[in-house]
Amino acid sequence: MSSERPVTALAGPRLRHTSGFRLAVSSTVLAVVAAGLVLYLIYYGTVGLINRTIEQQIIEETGEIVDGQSQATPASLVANMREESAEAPHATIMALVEPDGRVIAGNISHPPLVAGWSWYKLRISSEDRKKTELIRGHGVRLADGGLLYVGKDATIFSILRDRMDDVFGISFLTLTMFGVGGGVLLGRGAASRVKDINRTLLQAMAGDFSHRVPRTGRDDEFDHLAKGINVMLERTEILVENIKQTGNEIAHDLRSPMARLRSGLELALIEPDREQLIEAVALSIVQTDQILEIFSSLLRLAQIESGARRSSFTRVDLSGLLENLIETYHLSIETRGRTLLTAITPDLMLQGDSALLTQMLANILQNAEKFTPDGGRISIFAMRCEAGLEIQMEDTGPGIPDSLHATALRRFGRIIDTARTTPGAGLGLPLAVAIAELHGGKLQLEDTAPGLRVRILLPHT
Amino acid sequence: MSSYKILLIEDDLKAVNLITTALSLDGHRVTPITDGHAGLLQASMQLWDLLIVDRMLPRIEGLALVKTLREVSVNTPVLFLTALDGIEDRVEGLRAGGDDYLVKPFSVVELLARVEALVRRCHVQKEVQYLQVEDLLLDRMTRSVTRAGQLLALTPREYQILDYMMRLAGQIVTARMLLDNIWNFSFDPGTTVIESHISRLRAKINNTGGELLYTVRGKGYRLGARVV
Ligand SMILES: Nc1ncnc2c1ncn2[C@@H]1O[C@H](COP(=O)(O)OP(=O)(O)OP(=O)(O)O)[C@@H](O)[C@H]1O
Ligand SMILES: [Mg+2]
Repeated sequence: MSSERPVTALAGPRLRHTSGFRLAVSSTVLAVVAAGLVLYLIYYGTVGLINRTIEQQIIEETGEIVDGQSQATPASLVANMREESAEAPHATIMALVEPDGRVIAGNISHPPLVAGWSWYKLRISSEDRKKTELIRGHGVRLADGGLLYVGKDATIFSILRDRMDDVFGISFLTLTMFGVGGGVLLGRGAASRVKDINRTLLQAMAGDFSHRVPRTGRDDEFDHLAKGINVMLERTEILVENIKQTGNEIAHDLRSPMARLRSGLELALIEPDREQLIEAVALSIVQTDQILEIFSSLLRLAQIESGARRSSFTRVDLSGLLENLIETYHLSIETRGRTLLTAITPDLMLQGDSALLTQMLANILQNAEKFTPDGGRISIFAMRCEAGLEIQMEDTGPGIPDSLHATALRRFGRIIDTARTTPGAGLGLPLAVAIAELHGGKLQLEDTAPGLRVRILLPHT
Repeated sequence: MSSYKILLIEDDLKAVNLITTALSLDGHRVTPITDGHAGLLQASMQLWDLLIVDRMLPRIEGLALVKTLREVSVNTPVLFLTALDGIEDRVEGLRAGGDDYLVKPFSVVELLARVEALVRRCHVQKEVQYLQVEDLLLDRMTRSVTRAGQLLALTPREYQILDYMMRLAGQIVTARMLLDNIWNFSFDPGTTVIESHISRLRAKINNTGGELLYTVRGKGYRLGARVV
């Protein structure tokens, strides 16, 4: 484990690194670009329309001045120009230019000397103010090489452009403000949620699994994440608790046999009689074997609980397996006036691990044998039931009161009143439960007062 | 007791020490090798009475080693040593060509009994029809057992036990050996189980003659006089 890494990195992300902030900023940029695009389209749409209208007017007026005469003389043109400007003085800019560049008629002195469409800035200075007009103009080359220039005020374009600039500027500013502001808010929110999560995780890393990530109840993605983390923490807490408990129990349970072993060996050390010495050492070896048996059971329990053995399931003849066990145990059961009653339905089959199923049933049978007093009875039934197969093992021993069932099923759990004088580590039933559960089944204890009934249900597979 | 030539392939030096000492004290000659490859070479080049092979070896795994040996027709009996949590190891080991297995840590009694059983079982023809220990006669063809000519009424289990013990006549058979070989139980079924079966079998045998099935205190059981 790399618990040495600096945990301060978990305090929470910097604001500008939060995904909320980044998202807000990038969507702002997109919004600005979109707004710019829309404004641009509106601008050019409008400008295009106005431009076409102006150009049309210019063409019309040029047409009226030229008046269909392809070989118009300057004199007739000038007359026409006069007529036009009289109709609307100053609305139209006009100039007739000689081939040598001299303006011979019109209302401006320096028209652009090009044929075709052009833009032209006209400075107008009256008594009190100066102003510049933007002129859209059109020059027509005349037959004698001169130029007829007709223009119209198009200042509206530059006004429009300025307005557009303003609008764009304002919307850029507001969008950016909202975007960045929103980003800060979002980022802050996200960062604080992450901080919450990290605080809880840090506490868990420090070994305190009791804290949970707070949830806002908004059911947002952070709430979902928090839910997942909380479930994980809960399970870890239980696991850690179990491990602690098991660890304590192992320590506790192994202490007394170890202590016995140690004092036995210590006494053997000062034993003068050789026979007795050998006796003492032999006893120590037996005690060591018991301790090893406990380890072996714990390892097996862990392996069963991991579910790894499920992969080696085969078709098992449960009836045959039970008959085999009955044949194995009936001699030790049928002593001291005790009787064994069995009713096994033949051909009960299931998918499973026959070695483990044997052990499960043997553990229970062994308990029954251990706890059934002289003249008692042990019964074994096995039959089909709705959900699958059912096995019942009953005895007429002291039984286990309902309130102590959980204790009996727990690792190292033994009922002191009845089990003090019988050997055992308290691992038989937990192993049986784990095996039943590995097969998708369950094991229940029932108090038959007097006596115990163990009922095992194994589902069809 | 006879002396066997045993090759021990095991990398755990503590285990090597214990096994070598125990087997030497019992009169056997042990050659320890800590490396799988060297072990494989030794096992196939010389004649041995028994190979003791740890499942976890450097360079080559115990299972693979024995599989290879069997492939090149080296049929020396093999005793596997496995770790405490190797529940399924027995089946795996036997499938790979091992003849028996022992879970570490094991008792010296258990080790010596297994070694004896393995080498002996190898010498006894598995296909013979009759097994005899003193006046006890087992006929595999008819699956019947007589003592001094008198038929014994045995259950199938008792017959199995007797067949096994007669093959290992005169030497110790531990409860664990019976559990492994007769019952196929990898767990401890309780102290009284084996005892109850043996005592009934003993009663049936002794009924028609003198003491023949002995309990060897702290070790196990023995059929017939102790072989020296
Ligand atoms: N048939 C029974 N009658 C009365 N009490 C029982 C019976 N079976 C189990 N118990 C009680 O439940 C406890 C737990 O049983 P469990 O099989 O887990 O452990 P154990 O038998 O004491 O030891 P182990 O099985 O590990 O040798 C026993 O110690 C005993 O107090
Ligand atoms: Mg028990």
